Amino acid sequence: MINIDHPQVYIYSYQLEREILEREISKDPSSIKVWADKLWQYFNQDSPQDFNSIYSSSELNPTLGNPQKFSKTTKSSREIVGSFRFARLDDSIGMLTRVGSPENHENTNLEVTTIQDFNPQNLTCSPNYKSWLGQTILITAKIPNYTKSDIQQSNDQSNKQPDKKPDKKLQELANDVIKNLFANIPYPPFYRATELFNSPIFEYSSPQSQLQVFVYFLDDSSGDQLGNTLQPVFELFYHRHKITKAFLDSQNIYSQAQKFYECVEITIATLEKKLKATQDNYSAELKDDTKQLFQDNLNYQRTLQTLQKFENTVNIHIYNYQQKLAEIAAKSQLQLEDLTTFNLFSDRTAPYIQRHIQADLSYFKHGTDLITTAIASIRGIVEIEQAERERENQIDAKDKYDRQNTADKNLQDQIQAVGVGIAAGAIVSSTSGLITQPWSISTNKLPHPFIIASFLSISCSLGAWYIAKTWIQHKRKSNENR
Amino acid sequence: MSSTSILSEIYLAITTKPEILTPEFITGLTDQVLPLAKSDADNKSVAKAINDLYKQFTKVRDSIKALVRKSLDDFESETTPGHETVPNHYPQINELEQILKERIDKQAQQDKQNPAIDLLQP
Repeated sequence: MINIDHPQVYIYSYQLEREILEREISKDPSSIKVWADKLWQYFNQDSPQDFNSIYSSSELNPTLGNPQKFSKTTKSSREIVGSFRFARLDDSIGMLTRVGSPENHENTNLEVTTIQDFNPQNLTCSPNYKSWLGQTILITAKIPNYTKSDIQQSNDQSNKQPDKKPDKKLQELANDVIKNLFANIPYPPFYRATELFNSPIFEYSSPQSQLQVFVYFLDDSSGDQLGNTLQPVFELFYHRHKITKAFLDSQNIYSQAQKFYECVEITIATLEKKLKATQDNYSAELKDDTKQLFQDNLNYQRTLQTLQKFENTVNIHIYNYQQKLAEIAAKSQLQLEDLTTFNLFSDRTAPYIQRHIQADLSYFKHGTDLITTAIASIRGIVEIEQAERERENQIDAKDKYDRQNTADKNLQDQIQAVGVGIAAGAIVSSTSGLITQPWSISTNKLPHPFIIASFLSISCSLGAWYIAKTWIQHKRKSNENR
Repeated sequence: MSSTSILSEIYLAITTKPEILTPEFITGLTDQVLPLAKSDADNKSVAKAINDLYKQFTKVRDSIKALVRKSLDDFESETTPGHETVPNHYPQINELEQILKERIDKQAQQDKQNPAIDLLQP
């Protein structure tokens, strides 16, 4: 078994500031501050300050603040020291927590099991990291009896093999370190072995995991380089977690949007059925369903917009990640290709995430077309029905007009007949007195006076009738032409 | 740094890398520190004597300190001009999630009430 010197556990944790504020009030353990408070309470024996006061007194800048140190002596008289450093990065709070052995002679050649002391009651490795943006745990240790030339030689030998397997002994040691830190809780699977600043580093994670663990067997030189790149590495992990979290959240929205889309399909299918059935309350139901469809369309657009926002977030943080990678390379005077540990994420994982979100977006754009078509179809159907109704109304109105016209004409006929009757009656009554008049000889050539009177009366009535009729017709025509 | 840490530093240098200690520094150690270490003086006093010696021999001090492993606490965080990042605000999704969930639940409830009707069937 290989022993280790001065093991340290560095925990890089990030959470959106608005979520910290929301959860802090209810002492929700998924708040990064609640987690840190518990850790501080356990490890801090010397400082009279509580966590909230050290957090409040820290100026939250984009660069990491001064370390707020703590220390504790365990039951086995082993001293454990550590610190908290805080930073505000955009809309998030980042914390760098250290838990480890003091850098003195007493803490050399230690058994790997001593790492268990760094995670008492699983306080250090919080299971709540899924509620955060993410967490990177970097475990560093120096290997006393395993010199750099040994490692180099071992790596050279392994690199000659086609599959470039990492040094078995170091791999086993890294596995032991992980097992001892995550004693009773699950930990991510081994992902890959690389070299960082010429020292071996083992990563336990997966490209889309919010928890990333590194076991880094460093020496003085690589330790210095890690220290000199403290800030860009801290920010690099932040951008990595923002990309991963944005991807996971976009997947969550995608799966909900899929279920939501099924609801929209059902609404459209219901509409189709109702259109075919043409029930009595059809129009009211059509109105309700159309309202629902409009509402769905609005929410669907919002979903798409959110997916686009995630795409934008991913793109920006990929750029930021590459910026930090370039900064690390510049500070450590290395080429980007030498930073394999970090650049595989930007070279392979990030493009995959970008493509995935783009594919999700294009899939849902078809959905928008379907809803828009459905709404346009309903609009068309409603317009056709409205036109039909208007036509029916016109026919009804014409029928009514015709009926009225006939009635008017009948009335006119009646009035005319009554007029003729009255005129005839008046003629008879005015001439009836002449019936008894004797026929005069001198006027024998002329007809009887009654006949003459009746003839003249009828002639006058007919003349008056003709004049009145002509005048009424003329007046009606001029009214119609108006 | 605590008094025991300084003592450990000197111990580490003597036992692992004695060549970094110059004769003058060794003389200082034997003349100023050793008598105190032998006496009943506490660790704090011995550490103070070593610190005084460090002030006289800064080069040796730096070599001794380099022997000791540093943690990231000992490094300043610095930004490098020219590597600025683009700010971005993380999308707010809680409200949208709530709306989608309500609609999905509503549909599920309707499906439960009318299980026999499969509206998606032609």
